[in-house]
Amino acid sequence: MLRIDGWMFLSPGIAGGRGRTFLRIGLLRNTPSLTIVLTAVILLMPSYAGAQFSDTRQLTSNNIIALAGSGDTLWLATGRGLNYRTSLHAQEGWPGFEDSDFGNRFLGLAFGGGSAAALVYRAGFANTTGFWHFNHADGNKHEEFFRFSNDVLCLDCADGINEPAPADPTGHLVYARGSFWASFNRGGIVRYNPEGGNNKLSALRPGDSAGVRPQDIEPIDADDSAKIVTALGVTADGNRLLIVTPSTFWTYDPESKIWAEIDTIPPDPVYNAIDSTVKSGGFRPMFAGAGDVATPEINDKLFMPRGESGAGTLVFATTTGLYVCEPANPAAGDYGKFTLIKYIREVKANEAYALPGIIRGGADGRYGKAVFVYKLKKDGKVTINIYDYRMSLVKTVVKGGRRSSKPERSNDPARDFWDGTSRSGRTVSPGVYYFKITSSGGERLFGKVILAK
Amino acid sequence: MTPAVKSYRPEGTDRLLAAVSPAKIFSGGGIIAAVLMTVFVIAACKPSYASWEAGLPGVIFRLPAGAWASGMGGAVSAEPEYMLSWYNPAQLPFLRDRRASAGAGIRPLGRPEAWASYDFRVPPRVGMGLSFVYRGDPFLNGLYDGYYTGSEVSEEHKLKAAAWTALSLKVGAGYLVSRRWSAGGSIAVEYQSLPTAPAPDGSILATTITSIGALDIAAAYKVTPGLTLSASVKNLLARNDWTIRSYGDYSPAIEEVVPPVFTLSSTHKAKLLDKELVWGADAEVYLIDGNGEYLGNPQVLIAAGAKWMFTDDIVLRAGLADIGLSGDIVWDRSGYWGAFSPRLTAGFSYSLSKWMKGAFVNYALMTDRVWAGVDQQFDITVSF
Repeated sequence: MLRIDGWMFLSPGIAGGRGRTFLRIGLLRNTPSLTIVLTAVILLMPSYAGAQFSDTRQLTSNNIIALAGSGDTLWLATGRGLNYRTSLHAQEGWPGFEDSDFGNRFLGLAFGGGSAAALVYRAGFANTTGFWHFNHADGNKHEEFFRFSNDVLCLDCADGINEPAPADPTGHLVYARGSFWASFNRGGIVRYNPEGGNNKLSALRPGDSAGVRPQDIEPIDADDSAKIVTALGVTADGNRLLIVTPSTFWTYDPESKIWAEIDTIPPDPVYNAIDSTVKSGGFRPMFAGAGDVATPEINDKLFMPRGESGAGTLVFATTTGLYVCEPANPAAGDYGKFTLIKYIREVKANEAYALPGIIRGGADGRYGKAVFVYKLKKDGKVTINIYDYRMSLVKTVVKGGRRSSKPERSNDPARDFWDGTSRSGRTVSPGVYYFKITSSGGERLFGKVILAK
Repeated sequence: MTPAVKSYRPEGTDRLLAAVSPAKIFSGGGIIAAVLMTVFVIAACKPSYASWEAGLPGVIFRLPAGAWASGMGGAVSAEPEYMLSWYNPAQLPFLRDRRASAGAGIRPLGRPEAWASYDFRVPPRVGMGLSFVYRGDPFLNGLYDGYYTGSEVSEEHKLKAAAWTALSLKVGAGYLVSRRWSAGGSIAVEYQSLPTAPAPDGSILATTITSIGALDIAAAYKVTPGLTLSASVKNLLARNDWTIRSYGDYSPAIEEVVPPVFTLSSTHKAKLLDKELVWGADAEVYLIDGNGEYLGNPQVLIAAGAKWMFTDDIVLRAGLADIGLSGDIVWDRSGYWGAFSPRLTAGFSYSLSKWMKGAFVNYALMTDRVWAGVDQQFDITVSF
């Protein structure tokens, strides 16, 4: 059996260079020469493992679903993949990989022990769930999938028809005692131990003294509300799991294998303060130096303390990007200014488009004017003209404006825009309009914008 | 008795003058020139804006259709050969045969077009015709949706490809009032489909409008067998009533008046090197904006072109179009010259009589005013 594990890992902060490929190959032990040959061949080939990796320098999407991390390492799950930074404040860019379907398969994200894990559905395999594990130390990515027995999956087999239902992993994944733990309702808790060799996966139910393979676990009786696992957490010291069931709470120490029922989950003062502040409208994010935005929807929050002072980094995962701030005292609810980190598409030098491409009305006026997005090859003065279908000049929106080629986009959003009016101020007729951008450096770009107001 | 004194001219000059005959060429045009000067003087009285007609409703149908016409800069309104219901229904009763045309073209930045027409005479005094034109932009690729907030991109995602489609069908009829006078009119049905509403999956929903009843009224006068004058008003009663389709509850209604366009035109037949030369001039006058209100002063777009029977089988065409005249020449020179971008045109026709009597293949090339490329048109015309 030939197995190839590999992870294309492109991060100057970690690799110390532009990129390296780390591979590990396991082969039949009685074919040493084949091992050498294949090793040499494979080392020269691009590596991949499981999901396709791509070199990204920025967030894979602005829809940030989940956060995990500690210290200076932050992992994000977005609607289109995973991103991370191992030096949150000093690193440039966001390494990661894209997966266009990731948002539909993602279940949970956790970080601990110098590695991260994501709980995901397996693409193309119904009712199969598993872990993606990322080890920063050796740069390896490992996948481990499993499928519960039909007794666990099947909600009602009395009529003899086995109708598997999703395992409903409840979306909780935590790290404790060197392992990642995920909750699975009637399937109990599944443990992923990165150091477990050939037995990385095990499953156990509240009260069990030992774990079994997930496919062998007996389903928790649907009436046993004290055992069905609906949520997972971890104690403040990170050593014990907190298990939530419909009728009680448990703690579990993976080292001593002791289960204990408790009356309540101890509150976390920092997260309580965060939730309270957000609920009372205290989260009013400001772009760094650019004014107010409407409050986005928060998908996840993470506070990463630094030292003993109580200060740290507060991160909000939202539907419109990542918000980061450095509160001195998060428990006091005073967060100050948030920095917004967003996915911004790289614009090629021969490309020009309008944002939005369709100028239209609406109560908030967001789409009421189109900003022209372009990238110059060299610095120069630009002129932007708008023409109708007959190529009659509707308006000159910029004449001789100085623009730079250095930023990722050369346009000045405050000036390079059109609101659908002619030079006389009249709103022109709905239709397709054509814009032309010329620069003193001889560059010429054309684009289209639709006026629908 | 005082002998008659004859002006001295070098030998050969007479032949040259007879061949070119500027007096003949320009005599008919002088009437048009006088009219245009009047309009221009009026236009110069108040400041206007260059390209005032830019962005007015109905612009998509104001470009000439047909390679035979575009090669002459579109200056064919006085006496069009084909698509009479489109250009000048008053000429329909002067037809001596049936005429059909069909063709297609492509303009830079992905703007294709197609047309077809059929014109015929109903003796003794009536003519009728039908014209169809498609225009649009089916290559609306690379559109993005999103917005900026301040200097930051708040949202940006690519949209799927979409298309803008415009169709026009004109039915025209003309009546021969006398041997020199005729009048005619046409009525149009127009349809547009414009992508207006990005959907969450990236597709774009379209808003469609159909307008029925835009009227063209024309009159033509044959001053001499070689000089024809014509006046018309197009797009009377034409309206576009948009209910812009959007996602959510916001669906604004936009009611716009397609501005009527007054067109004064002339055609003059002459000789160049003993071969027939026909030249025409059109002046489109804009007086009303999309709200139906008076502009304050008119704007005029001039087109002039000529066709020359190079041989019995080959006709050459050339023209100049979209020359704007407005008060900006006097009041806002920088604005005028900034928008000044006439169109140069050229074309030819080649006879297909070896295969089909009365058939020509026509080709025209035009500059597009913004130097994104050239407009090209190709069609086949048949008289039978």
